[in-house]
Amino acid sequence: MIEIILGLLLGIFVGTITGLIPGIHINLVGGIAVSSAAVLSGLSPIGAVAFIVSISITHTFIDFIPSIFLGSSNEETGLSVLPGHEFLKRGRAQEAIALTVIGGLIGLIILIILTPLFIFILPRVYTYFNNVMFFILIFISLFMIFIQERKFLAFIIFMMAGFLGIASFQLQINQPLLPLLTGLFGGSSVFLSIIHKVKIPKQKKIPLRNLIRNKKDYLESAGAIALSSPLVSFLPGLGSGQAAIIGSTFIEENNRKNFMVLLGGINTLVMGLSFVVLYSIGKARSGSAVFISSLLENMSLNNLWMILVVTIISGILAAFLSLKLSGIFSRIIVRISYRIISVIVMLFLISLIFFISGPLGLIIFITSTALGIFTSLSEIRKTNLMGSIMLQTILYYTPF
Amino acid sequence: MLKLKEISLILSLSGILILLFISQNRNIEHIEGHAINFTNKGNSLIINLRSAENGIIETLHCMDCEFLPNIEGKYLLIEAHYENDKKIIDKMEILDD
Repeated sequence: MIEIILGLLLGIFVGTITGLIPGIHINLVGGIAVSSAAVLSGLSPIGAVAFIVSISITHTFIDFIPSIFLGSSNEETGLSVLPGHEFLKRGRAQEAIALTVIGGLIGLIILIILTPLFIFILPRVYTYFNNVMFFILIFISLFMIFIQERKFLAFIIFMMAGFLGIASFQLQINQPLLPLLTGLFGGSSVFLSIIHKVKIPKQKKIPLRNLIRNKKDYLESAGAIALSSPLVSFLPGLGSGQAAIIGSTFIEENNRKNFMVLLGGINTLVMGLSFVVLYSIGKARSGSAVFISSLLENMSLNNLWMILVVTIISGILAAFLSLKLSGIFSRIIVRISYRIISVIVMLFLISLIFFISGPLGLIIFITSTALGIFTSLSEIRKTNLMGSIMLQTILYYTPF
Repeated sequence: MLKLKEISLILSLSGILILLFISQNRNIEHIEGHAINFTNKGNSLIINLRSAENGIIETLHCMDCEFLPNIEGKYLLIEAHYENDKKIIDKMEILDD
């Protein structure tokens, strides 16, 4: 019991740090944590599992802070950069973070509701969904393109991102998603902030009770989270990015608040469900689930309950931490030149990519940043850049 | 003078083409050496081969290969590509020894 509590607290601490580092993906964090024998040697397998679960869930809450304040991103938070930045420029970054936190908490509630369904129904329907996934993805991609005014350009950008994604994965470099998505969503926004000399206004403090009043909107977001996340949590090749695209089709267009809630919810729910999926059908669908499966040879129902309890507790604590940290960031961000912050973030991302993915990673980063800039300047929605993952996922599921 | 929008388009298009070119060439590997052993499982085939270049034993996979006669000890010229961390055989030529 003590080991579980120790793992949980240690996980919250490490997850907060990794969440605050721009561009860091949870799979990378899990890999570092597991390979770090010094961290885990003092813990039993069950304590180590609590540690991994706690890092992962905490990271899903905290990693919106660098996305919204600094414009950096990863697979899970990529789509939050643009709307998040709009909140920041209107002095409402804290509200944006609070909305993702509310989304994360809604995600935890949905996780509790969906767990019994995943345990009893998923083993029976898993194959069926696998067979129709190709058609679902084609439909979503076409929908994404056709809802835009400049359909042809949206299609071209979708395909360019798609080919870039395919090339990046075929290069056999370490963590190809890091330069790819960091450039498409983060690098391009940071670059435009440097060029356009973005001035950040004083950030407003919005009481949480004002946000909680809006229950009808949250119901819409909760429905979108519940409909989009389960599908991607058990099928291979899919993740939070695709869930965000699917989910955004269920919410009202241009409703940025609901979109932030949606992203926060999906991020946490997809991670939580990956643990349930590991028990239900024995498949690891997230980096963290892979590490858990290597620690627990046969995952029992008791193990799953422990994981869910750690998920809920670390989620609630991470929610408080996220709100506290967003307040601190709000005060700091207006005191320092945003241009200098952007330059530092850009240099950090370049160094991180070079260190992890090597020189070819840098070529991917430059290309994806350029494509992200072109998309922003052409006023095409950045969701089309998810073609970088969608196109190869469609090819993966092609039945013929 | 070109605007940022045009520069970013040119940069992204040329970057994609360069990366596709590198990935296609980087992905293909020419391996030759003696086959140590091999396993036929239906249409799938696994060959362990000692590389003539550096003596390292390479494991090569063929997903849709016809049943092979005994190739143990034979000298093989193979063109393979990487897929999910596996080396997949595209072309194979069997020499006598």
